[in-house]
Amino acid sequence: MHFYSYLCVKFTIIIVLLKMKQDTKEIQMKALIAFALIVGCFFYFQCFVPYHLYFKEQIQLFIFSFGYFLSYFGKPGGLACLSGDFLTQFLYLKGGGAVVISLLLLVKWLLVSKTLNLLGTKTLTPLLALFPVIAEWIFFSEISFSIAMSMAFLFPLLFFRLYTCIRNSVFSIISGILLVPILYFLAGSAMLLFPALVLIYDINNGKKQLLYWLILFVLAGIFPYLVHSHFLLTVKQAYFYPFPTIKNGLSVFTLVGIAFLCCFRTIRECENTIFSFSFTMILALIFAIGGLVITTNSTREKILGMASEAYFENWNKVLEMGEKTKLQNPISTYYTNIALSKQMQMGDRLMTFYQPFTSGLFLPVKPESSWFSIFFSSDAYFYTGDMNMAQHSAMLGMIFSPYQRSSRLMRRLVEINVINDDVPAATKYLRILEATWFHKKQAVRMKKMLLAPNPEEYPELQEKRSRIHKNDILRSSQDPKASLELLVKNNPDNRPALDYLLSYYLLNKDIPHFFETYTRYYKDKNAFVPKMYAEALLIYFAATHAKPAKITDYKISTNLVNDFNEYTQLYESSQGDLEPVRKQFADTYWLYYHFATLKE
Amino acid sequence: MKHKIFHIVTCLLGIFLFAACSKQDDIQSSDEWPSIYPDYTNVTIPSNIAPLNFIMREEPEQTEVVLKGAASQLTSMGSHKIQFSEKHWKKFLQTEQGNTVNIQIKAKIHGKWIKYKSFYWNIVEDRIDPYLTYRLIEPGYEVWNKIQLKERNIENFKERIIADNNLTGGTCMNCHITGNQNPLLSFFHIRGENGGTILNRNGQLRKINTRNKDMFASATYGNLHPSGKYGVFSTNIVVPDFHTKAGEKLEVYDTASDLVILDFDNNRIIRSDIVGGTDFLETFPTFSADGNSIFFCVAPNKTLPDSIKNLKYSLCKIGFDVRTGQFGTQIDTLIYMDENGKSVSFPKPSPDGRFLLYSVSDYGTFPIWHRETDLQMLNLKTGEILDLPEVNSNYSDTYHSWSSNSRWFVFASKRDDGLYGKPYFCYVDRKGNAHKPFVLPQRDPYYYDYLLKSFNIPELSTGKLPFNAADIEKVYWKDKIEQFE
Repeated sequence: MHFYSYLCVKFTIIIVLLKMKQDTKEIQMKALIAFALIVGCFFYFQCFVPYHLYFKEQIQLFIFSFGYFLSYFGKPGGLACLSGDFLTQFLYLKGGGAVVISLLLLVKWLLVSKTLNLLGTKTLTPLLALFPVIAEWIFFSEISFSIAMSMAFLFPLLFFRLYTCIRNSVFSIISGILLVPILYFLAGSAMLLFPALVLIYDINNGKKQLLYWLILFVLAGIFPYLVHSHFLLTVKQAYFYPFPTIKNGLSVFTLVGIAFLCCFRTIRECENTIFSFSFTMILALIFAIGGLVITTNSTREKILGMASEAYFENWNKVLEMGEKTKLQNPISTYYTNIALSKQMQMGDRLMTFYQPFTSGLFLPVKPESSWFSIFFSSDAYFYTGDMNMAQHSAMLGMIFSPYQRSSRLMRRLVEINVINDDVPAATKYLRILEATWFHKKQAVRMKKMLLAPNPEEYPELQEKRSRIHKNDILRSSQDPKASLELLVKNNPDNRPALDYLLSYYLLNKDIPHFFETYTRYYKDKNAFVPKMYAEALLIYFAATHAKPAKITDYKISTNLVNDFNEYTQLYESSQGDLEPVRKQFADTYWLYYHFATLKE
Repeated sequence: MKHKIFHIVTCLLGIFLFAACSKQDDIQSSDEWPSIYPDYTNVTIPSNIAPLNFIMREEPEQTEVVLKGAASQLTSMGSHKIQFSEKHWKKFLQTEQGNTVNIQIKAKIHGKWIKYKSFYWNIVEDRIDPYLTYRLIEPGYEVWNKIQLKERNIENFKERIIADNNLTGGTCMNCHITGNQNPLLSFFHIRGENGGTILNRNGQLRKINTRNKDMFASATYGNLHPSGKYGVFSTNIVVPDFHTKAGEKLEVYDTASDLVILDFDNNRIIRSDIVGGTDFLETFPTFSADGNSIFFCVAPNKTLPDSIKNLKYSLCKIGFDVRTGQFGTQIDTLIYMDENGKSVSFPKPSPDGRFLLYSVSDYGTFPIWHRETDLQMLNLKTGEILDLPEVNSNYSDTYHSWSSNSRWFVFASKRDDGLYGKPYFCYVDRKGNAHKPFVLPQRDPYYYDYLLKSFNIPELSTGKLPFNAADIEKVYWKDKIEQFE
């Protein structure tokens, strides 16, 4: 982290030094803005939305293959998407995302400043250039906004800079017309920025080229329509690609807006006074802070935090985050439940977290499910040993994710096939991971495991292999219970599947099946009775009027029996009122059993 | 100046090649074939196929490939990727058609040159139909997101998209089927609100609703009559379920299925009790080469999914009256499968009427996810069943279709990884012997390594299809659907 900060500061200093020829006051202002921008960006991305950045990498996969590079040019904005996805892979590194995006925004600010200078703005240029940059910054915390979109914006600015270097007017006109289709191929719909910049540039420089402007605007306006069939896009997509929605292009509109304002001499040649500086600065700050407050989704950041820590197998951290955030969300519950299972605490602590019935155990994969939820759905199947459903969910997660490829799910597919000992299938996915920069190491490790002459050298792999289905039944994809029952029947030592099955029954309030399964698979194998299981057993004993000897046989502590008696009295006296019971018996299964209801 | 640069580059190249070649003196001979992908060792190829580019899995620093024919020689150099010049390849194949070509590979691995055991390619004069259509879809079992139907010219690497579900509101698209390898006669289904069966007849596109009020489902699997006037289809109620055991994956079965004839001239649906009803499940119908009968698969209805492993489809044949469009009155069983037997699917007669190619799997009606699925060939003249051991693999081999000259067939095989189907071409010689198949060549031989889609129902055709994705977009959104009664 310190190393990255050092890099950012150094980069800023270099840029500032390069500008030494300019007047000192302007340099100081630029240096100050550049420094504030890069520090602000880095701080925001590293401290407020780091998991969003990790996730952006997880839903991408950058392969070093010529054929793969070429595939980008099947849609408009090929170079922008290619370079953007190339940079996205660095988001895998700790702090890498904050550095890459901060530097990208800094470069963009420099280019916008240069563009505004070319359009005739004077002293306030560095401040005005902040607005389009902020308009982009605020969208980076959205999952749908990719680095490719940011790159798409850079190309028209770069090409506009080159265009203004052309002195010959005929060559300039020809270049301008040619650049429209070229820019569309390279940068997609961000191309539309180019004619606007040319128009303002010409107006500010006193050029009147009505026919040229008309040609330029008509060409830019109709070109996406003309080629939409070639790129197999709908007309609407052709005018937006690679931006998924119009709001993601806010940066473009902001720049065009500022550029048009610069047509007015008063704005263009506004003196850099304390008032003008402060006013513009305050406006920029309001825009940045307001925008970031509106777009930053802290709940999603927490969910992505848990999902990412689960991906890195930091189970303590997942539980810590779950306890701290107390989110009432199926995905956060899903990850705390997996973490509890990994820590063998499911039977003890399930009730300390929000439980939306069984939808916190397995995320549903249905036509109406969001891609976000489907993306994570393979994890629970994977940890319980249902490799077929894990593979199915991982494939669907990839299919429905925004780019139909995912480094995270690719790694999962490798793991699944290594556990299944399916060498050809695992090799297929390993080859893909081997062609990446940051997942290659994992691929080598998994390959070694897959091809190990003595798999006994990998006890964890052996354990996972022992959990998978050995028998075959047909079941619906919406029926995890049938799979769990078979997993436990095949291997009663499959503790994750057993805990999940017992929890499944309990969350469905199916006490008889819980009791039967507990007695058959859990009771005699474990000396200690987890708290939630003991609470559920007491409900069963009370309902079946069991003898006290039975309670002793199930090793339920006397204290818990006393608590249950107390709870029962309180429940009866409260006449269905939740509050007095909750105060004294929060986090008990009894409370869940009596009061939890399904929300519509 | 230009000449100077050219001379310098040429000299440098010469020095480089000399340095590279000079060490071939201490070359080691290997008794093994090189580990190349795709596996193009000892295969039979048509004289009009695109270059068989391949990669060396050992990733050598340098590779030299020499193709030695009876009258000419072709050399290609590379590191681990061998890509032949299209122009030289075409010329070489033209010269060597009818001959056996010897392929000698030398590779420099860790600084040492190795000469591998040579292998051969039989270049036969029988040409393969030059166009191949297929559906590219992720093997996401029963769901889809992005689907494309593509057409590839297999004489080169040109590929175009003939339908894209991005242009049709993201709806599901079924595979494209050609009638008698004729590009002017084909169909595929588009599902969704504005969907229907898209019929291409003489280049004219029609959108048809193939379900009338008496039917429980729209047309599913089907085939077109050589005359183009009729189509025979199954209507199926399809249920997908999942296996638990690793290795087995999806099971798709029908809880009901019947056969129907679509009369394209009179917009009517013709049914018959003999291939309808609830006692039997009839599916995968296809016209015989002469169009006078229909082959199909049939199984007695069972309680599903409990009895899925006892669901065995037999191969049957029923007459067809071209004049009236009616089914015949008698069903002949060509291959009977009892509960101990296997299950037949996808019968496809060769255009010369000599053979019938079909898939066999342990049970059920969805062979693509059955690892044990193999192709078999029935000699319709003698009744002999050929097991095709040269063709089949350890994974699913199915979704086959013939070339118009009956000398070639293409099928989808999952032999590489068990997950992703790829089109393989197989030669059937005049004696009816099938030769080792080879996969569709690609310009970049790494293409299959990084592809996350399956090739579904590869179908050969003699020419280019007369429509493109934009035409399909128009038909989907703008054309009125024709209701068949």
